[in-house]
Amino acid sequence: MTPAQRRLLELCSSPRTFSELKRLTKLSDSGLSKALKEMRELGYLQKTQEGYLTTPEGMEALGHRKIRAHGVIVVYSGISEEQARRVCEILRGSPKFWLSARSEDLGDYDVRVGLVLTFPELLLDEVRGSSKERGVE
Amino acid sequence: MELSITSSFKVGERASFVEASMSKEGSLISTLRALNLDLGNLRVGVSASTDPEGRLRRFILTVIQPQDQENVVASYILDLTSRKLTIAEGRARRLEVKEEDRAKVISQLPDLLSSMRQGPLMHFRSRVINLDTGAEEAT
Repeated sequence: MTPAQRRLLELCSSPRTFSELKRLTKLSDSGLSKALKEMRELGYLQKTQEGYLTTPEGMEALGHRKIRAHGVIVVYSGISEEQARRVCEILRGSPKFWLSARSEDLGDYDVRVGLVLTFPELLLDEVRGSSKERGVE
Repeated sequence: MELSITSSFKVGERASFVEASMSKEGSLISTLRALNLDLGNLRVGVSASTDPEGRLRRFILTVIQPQDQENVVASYILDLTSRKLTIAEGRARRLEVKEEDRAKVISQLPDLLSSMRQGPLMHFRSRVINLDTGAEEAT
């Protein structure tokens, strides 16, 4: 899979319209159409009412894990198989549906703060700049 | 997101410790603890963040080696939530960090948090490795 194809699948982990994808990938109309067609032919993307969506096969191709239980397919990463199975159990018997869920991305702050705490130079210029602005040395 | 420094002190001559807590809408999200060691020709920083139940979420090891006018920096970010290891390596302008500078950065960190959206290592070369497959991921 090329980096561009991978990016497309990652973007479509929640439904994306053609215009959204065009803006995010900066591909031309024809380039994006071609890439979407290829991904659909491989079974990695599907077109839903809400937009293009990466299929469980596509998510699996990205390296995520997949389980099938009780007629539900769950593609996951960052949770245990037991938790994924519980999701299947909860959703068993539901009519045709799709669901996209992810944790709120709060962890990125952990990384940024952690880096600054171990490497304060990353913000030193800003701190010195703000001190000068306030006339503090 | 609110960040508050809950503890900051020196551990002997060449080491310092900081503890910070991050909360959102009054609820604790994570606690960060960082230890910095100055080994003379090398600086080493370790930072760990834990969730409210005390489970380790992320661990960062940063090694900084001064070289001429630059610092050679390598950060290893072990993310147990997304099960990825990010290795960021690069060179940064060498700045003299006095103890009061460190204290300023720490005290102003809560206000500077919002200006850090771009990610402080964005100009560094980085590799992301999936912990489950061992494969390098596209960044």
